[in-house]
Amino acid sequence: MSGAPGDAPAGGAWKAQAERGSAFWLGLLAWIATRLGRGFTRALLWPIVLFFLLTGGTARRASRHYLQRVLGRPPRPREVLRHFHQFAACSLDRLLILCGRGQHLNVRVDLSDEVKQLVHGGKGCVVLVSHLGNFEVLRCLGETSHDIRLRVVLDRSQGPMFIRLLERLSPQFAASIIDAGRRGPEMVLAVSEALSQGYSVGIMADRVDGKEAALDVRLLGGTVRLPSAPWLLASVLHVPVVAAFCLYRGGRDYETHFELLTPGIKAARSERHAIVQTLAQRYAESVERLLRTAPYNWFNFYPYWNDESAGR
Amino acid sequence: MPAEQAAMTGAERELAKLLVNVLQLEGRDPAAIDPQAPLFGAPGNGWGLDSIDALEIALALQQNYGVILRSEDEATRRAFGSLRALADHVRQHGGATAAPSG
Repeated sequence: MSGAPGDAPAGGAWKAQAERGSAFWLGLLAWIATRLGRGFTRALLWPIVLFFLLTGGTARRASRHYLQRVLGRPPRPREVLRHFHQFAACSLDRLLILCGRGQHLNVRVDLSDEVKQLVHGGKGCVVLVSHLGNFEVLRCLGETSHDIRLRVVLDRSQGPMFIRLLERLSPQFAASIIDAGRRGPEMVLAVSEALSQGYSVGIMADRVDGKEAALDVRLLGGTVRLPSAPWLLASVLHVPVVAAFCLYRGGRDYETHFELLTPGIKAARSERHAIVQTLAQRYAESVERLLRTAPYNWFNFYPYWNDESAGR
Repeated sequence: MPAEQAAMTGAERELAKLLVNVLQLEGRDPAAIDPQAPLFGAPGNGWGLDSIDALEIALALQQNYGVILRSEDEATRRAFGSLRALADHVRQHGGATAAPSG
């Protein structure tokens, strides 16, 4: 990550955060959770959360910054605590899903006929996933119903320890990952092939990786950068784009939201940029609308807004 | 550099025209392209294309020559090395006789 001030906060910041949390602790938690159950393990989350809250300066500042934006006032300490705890609770459920114990969760699926046809129709579509809520739950749907055939694009090199954990817990899912780390033609051709085989291809739409192409959109009164790649891929391949969110509603309850953002982008190369910009902004508005109903579901614990500095 | 530039074959010229057309590289003269310049990477040292461009090229080759570039294929990686490599790939995979429609 280049350290130039005013640079997008993307790149290195979240990678460091992600690896810090995921590797050892997730492995340990998975071990405990599969042996002692969800209820017991949830009780352990509070001390873990406190530890991260006290030691994770960057994450704490990012949480405060975000909560201030979404609540419209400085957050109280217990609201920051709640934000951290919600993330921990969702991470635990992610682990349980990876361990094949997702059946204990109540997932309410809100799928319009339009979207149902797309994700079940076997014609392929781009599914925008994000760190708003717990996208792992979507995969859980895919496995139980066998209707949503989903392959997810992830950069394997970004969290090698996490990937190893994934390979151990859920080898089938690990094998279906399309590796975004393969730069250049490899990855895009793999996405293209998966789409033409009728898979829905999940692409992370809320985090920009270092040098990749990005665009600015407005979110919660500020400017953030989103990756261009999901949109450009969809426009070149003429496939629909669906936004998918899975919000945690407390207890065992999750609630999925799907939204058809475009049935397909028909644009000449020269007009593409403007159309993609409009669609990305519409996506950001969906994100904002959901954040207002579920403010503690935002799991980007790093400086996310363009004017948000990593320091202090 | 122009002095060292390799001459283009007919097939390469056809392909160069197709790429300039598909990628809308206005102001780029297909005849002045170095067939051995790398397609990807920093501009100035070649075409400076990105992965989305690669996808468009792959689709254009499929449409115009019936040649399919697959991921996880060593031949694909080689084909995207340069215009010359791409033309060779098209020729080897039976696309030489088909005239581009675009």
